[in-house]
Amino acid sequence: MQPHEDKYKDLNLKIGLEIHVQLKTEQKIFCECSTDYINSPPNNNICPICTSQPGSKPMGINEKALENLLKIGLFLGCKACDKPLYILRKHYFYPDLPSNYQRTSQHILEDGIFMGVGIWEIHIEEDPGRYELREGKVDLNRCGIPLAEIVTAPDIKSPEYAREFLRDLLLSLDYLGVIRGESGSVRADVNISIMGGNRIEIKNVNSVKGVYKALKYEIVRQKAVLQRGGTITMETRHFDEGSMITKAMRKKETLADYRYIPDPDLVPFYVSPEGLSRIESILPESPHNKKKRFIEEYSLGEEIVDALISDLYLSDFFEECAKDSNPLEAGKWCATELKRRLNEKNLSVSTSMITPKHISDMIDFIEKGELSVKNAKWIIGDVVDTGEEIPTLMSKKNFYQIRSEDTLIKILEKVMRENPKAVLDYKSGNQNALHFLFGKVVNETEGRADPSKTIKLLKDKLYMEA
Amino acid sequence: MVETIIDGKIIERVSEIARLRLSEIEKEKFEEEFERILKKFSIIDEIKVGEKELYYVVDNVNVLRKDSESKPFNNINGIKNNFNKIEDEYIIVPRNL
Amino acid sequence: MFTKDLIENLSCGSLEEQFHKKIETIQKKDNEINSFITLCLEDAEKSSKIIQKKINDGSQGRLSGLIISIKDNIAVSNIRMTCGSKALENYIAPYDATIINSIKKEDGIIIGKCNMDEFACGSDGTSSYFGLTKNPRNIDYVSGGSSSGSAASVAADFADLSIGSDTGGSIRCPASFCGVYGLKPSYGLVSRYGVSDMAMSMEGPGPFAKDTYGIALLLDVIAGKDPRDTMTVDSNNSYLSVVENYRYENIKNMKIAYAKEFFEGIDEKIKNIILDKIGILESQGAKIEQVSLPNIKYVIPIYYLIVFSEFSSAMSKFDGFKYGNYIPGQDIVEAVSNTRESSMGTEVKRRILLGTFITMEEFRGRWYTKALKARSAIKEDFERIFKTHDLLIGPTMPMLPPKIGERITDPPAMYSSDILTASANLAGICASSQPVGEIKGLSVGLQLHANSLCESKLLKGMRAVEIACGGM
Repeated sequence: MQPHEDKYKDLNLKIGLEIHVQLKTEQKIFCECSTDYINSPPNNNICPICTSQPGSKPMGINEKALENLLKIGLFLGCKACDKPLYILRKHYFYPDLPSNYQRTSQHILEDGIFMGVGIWEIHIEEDPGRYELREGKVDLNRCGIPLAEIVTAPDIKSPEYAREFLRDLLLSLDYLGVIRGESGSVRADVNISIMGGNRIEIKNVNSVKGVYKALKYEIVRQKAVLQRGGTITMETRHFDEGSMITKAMRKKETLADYRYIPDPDLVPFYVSPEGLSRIESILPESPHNKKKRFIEEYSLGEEIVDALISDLYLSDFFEECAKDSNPLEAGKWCATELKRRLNEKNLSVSTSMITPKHISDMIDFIEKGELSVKNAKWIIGDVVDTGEEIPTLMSKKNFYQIRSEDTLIKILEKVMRENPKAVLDYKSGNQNALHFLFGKVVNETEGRADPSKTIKLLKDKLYMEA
Repeated sequence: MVETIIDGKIIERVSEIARLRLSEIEKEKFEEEFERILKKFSIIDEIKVGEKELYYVVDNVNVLRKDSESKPFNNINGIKNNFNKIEDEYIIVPRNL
Repeated sequence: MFTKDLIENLSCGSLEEQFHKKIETIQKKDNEINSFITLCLEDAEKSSKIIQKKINDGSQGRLSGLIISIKDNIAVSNIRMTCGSKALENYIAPYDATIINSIKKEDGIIIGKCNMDEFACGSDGTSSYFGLTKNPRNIDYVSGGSSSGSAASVAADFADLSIGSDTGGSIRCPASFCGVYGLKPSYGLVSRYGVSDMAMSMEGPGPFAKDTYGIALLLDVIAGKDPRDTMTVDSNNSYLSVVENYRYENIKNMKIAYAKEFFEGIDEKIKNIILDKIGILESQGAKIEQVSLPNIKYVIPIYYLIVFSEFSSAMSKFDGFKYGNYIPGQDIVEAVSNTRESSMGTEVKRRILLGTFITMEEFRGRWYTKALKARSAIKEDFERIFKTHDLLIGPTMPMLPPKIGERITDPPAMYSSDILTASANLAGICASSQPVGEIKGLSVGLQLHANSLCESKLLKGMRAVEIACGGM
C-alpha cells in the first residue's frame, strides 16, 4: 500500500503528473542565448531565433540538454525509444509563444518507475516566455530554455504522496546536476480522477505546495459536485496560486487542435546505444539497485528504505551516518523525523545545517539514556536550522535526562508530599493515580525525568509507604 | 475514397483556429474555392504510395550542437524596435482577465 | 563572359562609374518597372568607397564591387524587410541572413530589396502589396514570380546579380520570363537562415545573373554548411572553376534526358525553340534520350498540399505583437485575428486556411499525410533518371508571360503554371533557367535539372547551352 493511501481509500484516487523541469545548460535549446534569464531585465536575453524573427531558423538541438534528459530517463529506469525521433511543432496562439507554435519532441524515453509510480514517458521541449495575463505584459527572456517533460502514470493515490513524490524527484534530479533549481523552474500539470470518474486536468501549477493544495481542493470540490447529484465531466482547469483553488477555464481556451507537424527545420535525432551506455556509466546508483543494497547491507525495512532512496541527498547522508552509528537507528531517524522536518522547512539535507555527526551524537545520547526520544524530535528541528552541536542544544533546552536515583527520589518525595490524595488513591487500588503522580514528576523536571526509572522508583516508594 | 465536404461550419472553425477573421463574402468565396481545389487535388488518390512519409529531402540526422558559453546577440535593440508596444521593457498586449 | 569582363573592369577602377550608372538607370526606369521596394543607396555608396580602396591594394573579395539586389524576404540588417506584404510594411530586419554576411564579406554591394509576390505566394509578380513588377523586356507583360523584382532588376541593368528564393519555381519562372539566368540550388546547399519561411522543406535562396559565370560566382559565395541552418551540407565551393574550365569538347560526355511529359500541353512555339536547342546540343555531341516522368501530373497537388501545410505553420508567427502591423482588439484572440485579417492578401489567407484545414486531426490523413507519401514517388522518379543521365532538359514555363490584366487569378488554374518547376523542389534537386530565344520580343527559358548536389553537372550543362546559343 502506498503511504497515505488509506486516508482516501473510498475515493479510489488516480493522480498523474506532467512535470516540466528546466534542464541545466549554458545555452538555450535552439540558440546561443544564455539560460541565465532570471538575472536579465525583461526582453534582454533574446535573439532572432528565440523571438522568431521572420527568416530565423533553429540551430541544432543543444547536446547537453539532450544528455541531461537522458540522464533523467535512465535514472528513472526508462528505456530509450529506438527510432529516429522528430521535433514536432505544436500550434497554438499565445502571446508568450513567439512562433505561435511550440517545438516539442516525440517520446524519447518510456516505461520507468520512481517511488512506485510509473513513468510513462519523457520528452524534450522549448520553454515559452512569460505572459502576465492581468497586466498584459510579455517577457520573452525565457523563450527557448530547454525543458524536460516527465509524464507519470496515474499511480499516485493521495495529495500527500503527490507532494512527497514531486519533492523527492526534484531533490534527486537536483542531485544529478541536470536541472535548474531557481524558483519558477518547475511546473506541473496535475491530472486527477475520483471514484473511477472522468479525469480533470489542472494546468500550470508552479510549486510542490501548489500541487498538494490543488489536489486537496479538487477532491473537496469533486466530492461536493457528486454529493449534489452532479457528474464530473472531463475538463481542464486553471490553478490560482493566490487563492490556492482551481478554476474552470473558458471553453474557448480549451478547444485545441495542435496540428502537429514534424518541424521541417530540424532533422530527426536518435539515441545511440553507445551514447546511452556512456551516460549510464557516469550516473550514480539507480534507485532500484540502491534499494536492494540498503536492504541487504543495512538490514533496513522496506518502508524505511523507500523513504531514504527517493532523495539522493538523504540516502548519501544516511550512509555517512551509518558509518558511525547503528544503521537501524540512523535509518529510522533519517527516514522519518529528519525527512519530515526538512519537508516542513522546504530544505534539502544539503541546504540545511545538519551533519551526520549530529545524528550520531543524538543516537548516542539516546542510547545512554540522557536524551528522551520525544526531546530528540525537538532537537532535530533546531539542528536543521542552526547546526549547533547536540550537547550545546541539550544544555540550552535543558534536555539532559535525570537518571540519578538520588535526585529522582528527592523529587518523588516532594511530589508525594504535595499530592497526598493521589497517594491515598493509589493505595486504595486506583492505578490512574500512579500516572497522575508520574505526570507531576514530569512537570517538576520539565520532562527530563527518565520515564522508566521514575515509574519504577514511584512504584517502589508507594509500595513502601503502604 | 473519403470525400471531404467543405461547408460554412468548417470554414468558420478553420478561420478561428488560424486566427483569420473572414467577412461573410470571403467565407462564401473560400468555401467554393476550397471545394474546387481539393476536388482537383484528390487526383493524388490515384498515385501508388508506399508507407514512408517524406518530410526531409536531405539525409542529415542527429545535427546536435555542443553546449558552450552563451553568446549574447549583438543587436537586441534592433529586435525591440520592432515591438508593437513596449513599456518598462515589457511587450504590451491585451490583458486576459 | 559578361560578368567576368565586368569584374575585370571593376578591378581596373571603374567601380564608381558603374555604381553611378546603375543609380541613374534605376532612377530613370524603376518607377515604371517597380522592381525595388527599398533602395539602400547611401549604404551602397559607403560600401563602394571602401571596396574601391580594397581594389586599389588588390585585397578585394571575389564579388569585387558587383552590384547585387536582394529579394525582400531575405534579411539585411537595419534595412526594411517587407516580404512584399502590408504585414511587414515597417519591419526593420535586426540581423543579416547568413548569405548576406557572405556577400558582404566578399565585397558585393547591396543596392536594394526587391519586389516579390506577397510572402512568395505567387508565380507572376502581381500580388505584392507594393504593386506589381513589370517585365523589362516588355512592360505590358508580367515579370513572373515570386522573385519578380530580383529577375527584373538584373534584366533592366539595375543590378549585376541578384538573390531570389525558389519554393516551386520562384527563381526559374521570373528568370525565364525576364530573360536572365537563374539557378535553384539543391536543397541544403545554401543556408536558409534569414530567408523568410514559406515552405521550409522545399525552398532556398539562389542566384540570378546575366550569364553562367555570374551564377557560378555567386553560388560559390553563398553555398556551404551553416550551423544556423541544420539542413545544410558541405559544399566544395569551386563552381566557378567548373565554369572557367569548361571546354567545348566536354559536351561529348554529356548524357542528357528529356521527359516527354514536360512537352505536353505547352505553348507550341516554346516547344519548338527548346527542341531546336536540344538538336544543336545533339549535333555538338551530347547523347540525348527521351525518358518518362509518369508522376508529373501529381506534382501540383502534392506540391501545393505540402506548401499549404508548411506555409500555414510558418505564418503563425505573425500576430503583430513582436513586429509588423497591429490592429488592436478586446482580447488576445480578437487582436490577433484583426491583425492577421487586415494585413494579409487573399492568396496568403487562402493558403493559410487550406494549410490549417489539411493538418487538422480529422483531415490530415486524407490530404497531408498522403501528399508526404506521394512525395517519395517524385523523388524516386528523378533518382531513376539520374542513374543513367547527367541532366534533364526542357522548357522552364509552359507558356509565355501573360499580359498584365490577362493573367489567371483563379485557383487552382493559377497553380498549374508551376507544373514544370515544382517537381525539383519536391525532390530537393537543383535546376536552372536560361534565356534561349524569343517569341514576339518575349523571352523563352530553357530549364536544366541535375541530381541533388550535382551543381557542377548543372553548370556544365548551362555552359554548354550558353555556347550552343552563341553565348561567350
